[in-house]
Amino acid sequence: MKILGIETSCDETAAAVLEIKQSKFNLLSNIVSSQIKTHAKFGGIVPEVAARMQSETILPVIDQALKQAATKPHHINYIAVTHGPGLITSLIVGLETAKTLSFAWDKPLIPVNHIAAHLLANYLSAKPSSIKYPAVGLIVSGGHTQLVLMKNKSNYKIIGQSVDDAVGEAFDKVAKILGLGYPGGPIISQLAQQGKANVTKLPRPMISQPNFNFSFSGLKTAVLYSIKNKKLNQNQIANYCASFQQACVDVLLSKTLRAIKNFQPKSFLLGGGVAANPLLRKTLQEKISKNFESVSIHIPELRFTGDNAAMIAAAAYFQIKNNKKNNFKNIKANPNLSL
Amino acid sequence: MTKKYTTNSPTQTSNLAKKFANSLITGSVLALIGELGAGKTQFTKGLAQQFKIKNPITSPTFVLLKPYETKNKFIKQLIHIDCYRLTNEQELIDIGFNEFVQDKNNLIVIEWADKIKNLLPAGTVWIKFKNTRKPNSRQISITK
Repeated sequence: MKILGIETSCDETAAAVLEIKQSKFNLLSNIVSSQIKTHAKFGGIVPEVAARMQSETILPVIDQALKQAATKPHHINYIAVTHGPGLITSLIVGLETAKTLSFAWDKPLIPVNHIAAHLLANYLSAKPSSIKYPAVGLIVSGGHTQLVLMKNKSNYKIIGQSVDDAVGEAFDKVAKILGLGYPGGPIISQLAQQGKANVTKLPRPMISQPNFNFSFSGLKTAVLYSIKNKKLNQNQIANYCASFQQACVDVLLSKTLRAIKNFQPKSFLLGGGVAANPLLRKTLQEKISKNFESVSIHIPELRFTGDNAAMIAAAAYFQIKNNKKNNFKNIKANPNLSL
Repeated sequence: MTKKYTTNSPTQTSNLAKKFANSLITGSVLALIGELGAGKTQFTKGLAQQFKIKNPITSPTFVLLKPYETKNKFIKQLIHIDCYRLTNEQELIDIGFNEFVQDKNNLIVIEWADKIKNLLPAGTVWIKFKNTRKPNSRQISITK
C-alpha cells in the first residue's frame, strides 16, 4: 500500500510517499519545500511566511515526492492531508489540492490531525510493537506545547498545555531579545553548549503547580528584565542561552515526569520541532529511564521533528483501519482542531 | 482622544481589557503595539474573558492568526492576529486580512500592528503598551 501525505499547516509545504508492506513502514520520499530550489524555477525568494507561495510550491513539491518515490499517481492507494490545527489560509492550500487530487485520481482522502501526527511520527522509525499503550505524549513546537494521554493510537486526551507562548516560540523570542537570528531554537542550543546554565537565575514558571500546564511567556519576560540596560559579551550571551534552555528543559521534564507518575503509561512519545533540541532529547531519555524503568521511550529521528508530510502519511495509515469510507467533499480545514 | 492607564500586574492588565471590552462595537479593529513582554497578549486574554470565549487564548505568533468564537450576539468572532513574524504587509493580505476586516461580525485584535499600518481601516483603535522601571508595571494608552 502507498500513501501520499500532504502537509501545509503553517510555513512549510511538504509531501511524502510512504509505502506500507506487512505493516512495515518504508518511506520512499519526504520533501519539504525549504529543501528544494524553487527559487530558480519559480522566480524570487521563498518568504518566511509562505501563504501565497504555498499555492505555487505545492504542486512541484508533490511532483518531486512522487518522482523521488518512483511512484505514479495510479500506484497511490490513499491521499492523506493535514486538516488542522494551523493557519486557515495555509491549511486550505494543502486541503484543496488534496481534494482535487482525490477527485481526479479517484483515491480516498484521509484528514489528519497535525498534532497527533507529530506523536505518531515515532512509528516512522520505531518498531510498531515497541510502542505500547497507554502512552504519555509531549508535543513541543513553535505553535504548541502539550502533554497528552493516549489510550491508543487514535484516542487522545490533552492533560496539560501552555497557557500562553509555545516553547518553540519562546526560543525564537529570547533569541531576538539576545540579538541572535531566526529561527532561535538551533542558535540558542548551539550557543548554550559554550555557556554555563547556573550563572543567570531564571524562573521555572508553573513548575511547582500540581498540574500539567506550562507557561513560557513569563520566562521570556524574565530574560528581558534581566538583560535590560546591560551590554552583553559573547560569554554572557552564551550563559543566557544555556540558562534559558535549561529552564525550558527543567519545566518540560518536571511536568512530563509528573504525568508519567500520575498516569503510569507503558510508553512515552516525544514530538514536534523542539524535539530536535539535543539537551531536551538527552534529558528526557536519561531521567525517564532512570525514574520509570518499564516505560519505553520514543524520540523521533531529527528529520521527523519539524513539520513534514511523512508523519501525516504515517498517521493516516492508522486511520484507514478504523475508518474505511471517507468522502473528500465533507472534509474541511479547521484552524482550531483539537486532539 | 487618548486615555492613559497604569497597571501593576498581568491580572490588572486583563481587567483593564475587560472593562474596555464593554465599550467596543462590532467590526472594531484594535491595533496593539509595544515591545516583547509588554502585555499585548495579556490584554487580549482579558477581552476574550469578557466575550466568554471558551478556548484559552494562546500566542498566535507561530500561526499568525487565530479565530475564536464568542458568546456575544454582535461580535461573533475574535480574530487574534500577530504581525511579529511578518516581513511585509502583503503577507497579511495573502492570509485573507481584508476579508476578516470586512466581516463586521468580527472583532480584530492585532499585535505588532505598527508593522502593517497601511492596511488598517479608518477608526482603528490604537493601544500602546510600555514597560516601566517597575518590573510588573505597564503604561497603557488607548487612542480612539
